[in-house]
Amino acid sequence: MSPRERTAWIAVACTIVVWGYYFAAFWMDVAARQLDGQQILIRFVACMVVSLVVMIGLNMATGVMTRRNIETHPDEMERQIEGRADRIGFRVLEALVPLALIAGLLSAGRIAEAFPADPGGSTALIFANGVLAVIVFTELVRELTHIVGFRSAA
Amino acid sequence: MPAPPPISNTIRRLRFDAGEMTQQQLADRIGMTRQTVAAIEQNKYSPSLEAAFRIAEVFGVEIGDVFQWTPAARRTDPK
Repeated sequence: MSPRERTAWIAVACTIVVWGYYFAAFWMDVAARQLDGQQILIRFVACMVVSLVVMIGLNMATGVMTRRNIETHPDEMERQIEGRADRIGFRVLEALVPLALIAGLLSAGRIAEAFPADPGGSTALIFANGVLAVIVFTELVRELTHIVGFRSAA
Repeated sequence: MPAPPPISNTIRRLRFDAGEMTQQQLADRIGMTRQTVAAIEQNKYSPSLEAAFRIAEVFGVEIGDVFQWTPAARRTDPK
């Protein structure tokens, strides 16, 4: 398995575990009608830090983050795989961002009704997390496309 | 998955003839990863013209001795 494929596997595992937890916790808060902006911000920053630390740690532990690997540029097949993953990721992003924005706009009234204590803040939080979910999902698709590319050439 | 290109190659034999050169050794000499050399050898990836010339140069042969164009008609039915 090439270092770049290993990095993709690590990114997929980290994204599913860390951001899976973050969004599960967030939507549970939404379902319980208990949105606390401060708490969500702390959870978001914690997930970012954990994600970074775990990814760097695993890349070092699996021998991906060596000086040689960092300095080595991707070869032509790797560039082709990365290019395809970027194109697919961009199309996913292009399709899902407008969808998330339209869904947010259509449900803004219902969100405000469900959170009478802070209708504006809750709407903004759900809106922002919807867009964040799209970005995380796009990254997941990109990394999975990398893996499919590497596996089909293996 | 797309059909493999109608190109065959003799890299495996050339490596063997070159003192059982490993895929990693060939990869290092042409500036690629071992995985890419393996993919080329198994006909799962078609290299660029530059990479094809580099491979031929390593073995000291013509590019036509490394890669051969084998259209479907010729591959399936020689009659």
